[in-house]
Amino acid sequence: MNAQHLIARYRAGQPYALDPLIEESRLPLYRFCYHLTRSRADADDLFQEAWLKAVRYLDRYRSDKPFLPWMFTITLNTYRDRYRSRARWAAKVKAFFSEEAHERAMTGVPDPNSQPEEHLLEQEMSERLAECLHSLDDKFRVPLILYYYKEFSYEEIADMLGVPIGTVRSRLNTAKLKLKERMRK
Amino acid sequence: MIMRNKNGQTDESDELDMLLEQYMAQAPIPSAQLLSRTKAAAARQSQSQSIIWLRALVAISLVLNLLLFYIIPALLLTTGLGMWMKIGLILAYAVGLQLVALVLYVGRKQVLGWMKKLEVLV
Repeated sequence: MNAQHLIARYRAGQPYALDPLIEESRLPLYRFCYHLTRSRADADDLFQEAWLKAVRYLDRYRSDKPFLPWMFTITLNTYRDRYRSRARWAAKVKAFFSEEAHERAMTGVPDPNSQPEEHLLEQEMSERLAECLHSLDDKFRVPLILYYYKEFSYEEIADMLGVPIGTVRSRLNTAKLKLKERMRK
Repeated sequence: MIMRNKNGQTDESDELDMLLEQYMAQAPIPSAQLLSRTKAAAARQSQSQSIIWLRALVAISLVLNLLLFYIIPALLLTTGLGMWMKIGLILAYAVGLQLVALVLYVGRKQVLGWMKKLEVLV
C-alpha cells in the first residue's frame, strides 16, 4: 500500500492508518535521528517529534514525491529548530558522561575471522571518526550524514536542505577535507 | 577502487569513504516502546483533529441557529412595516427556511460530498 493511500485513509478518520508508514520508516529514520543527535534519548524524542510534526502537516506532502525523503526533511527541520539551538558543548559533556559511549565500545562484537588487533584498530578508527564528525559544523555534518547514510543523491540532499546542488557538492567536499584534516591530527 | 555513486560520477573511494559508510551503518534500532508510543501519538493527533472539526461544526451550527431563528426574525419585526406585512414577512421567511431545509434534504448526498471536501480542506 503506498503512502498516499495510507495518508488518505488517515485523513478520512482511520487513526491507525499511518502505522505501516511508521513501521516502514523505523530503521532509516531512527538511525538518521541517532546520527544527528548521537544520543538514544534525543533520537527517541526527535523521532517522535518529527512524526507528530509530519502528521500535523500531512496536507503539505506531495504525492508525486517519495515519502521517506519528505520525512527526512521534516526530521531535519525539527532537529534544526530544537536540537541545534542547544550549545554544542553541552551535548559533548553529555556524550562524555553518558553510558552510551561505553556501551557502544562494549557492544562492538568482533568478527570471528578478524584478528583482535585489527578489530581494536577498526574500533579506534570508528571512534575517532565519530568524534571528528561530530566536531564538524552542522552545515558540513548534515550533508555528510545524508550522503553516506542513506546514499541520497546531490539533488535529493539539495532539496532537503533547501540549497543549490553546487552548494551541496562544495559542502560535501569541504566536509571531507575538514574530516581528513581532523583525523590526521 | 573506483566506485560509481548515485550521481553517475566516479569517485576514488578512499579509506575515509569506507570508514564513513561503515560508521553510518552502525546505529541502534528503535525500541518497541518508542514505536508504539509514536503510533499512539499519531492516532491521538487524528482524533484531536476530528474533535477540532466537530467543535467547529457545533460552533457554526450555534451561530447559524442564532442568526436564522432569532436575529433575522427580530430584525424583520423591527422593520417599519404594518402588522400584517410583518406577519407575512415572517411567514415567508419561515417557508423559505423550510424550502432550504427540503433542498438540503433532497440533495443530502451532494451536501455530504461538499462537507467531506471541506473536512479535507480543514
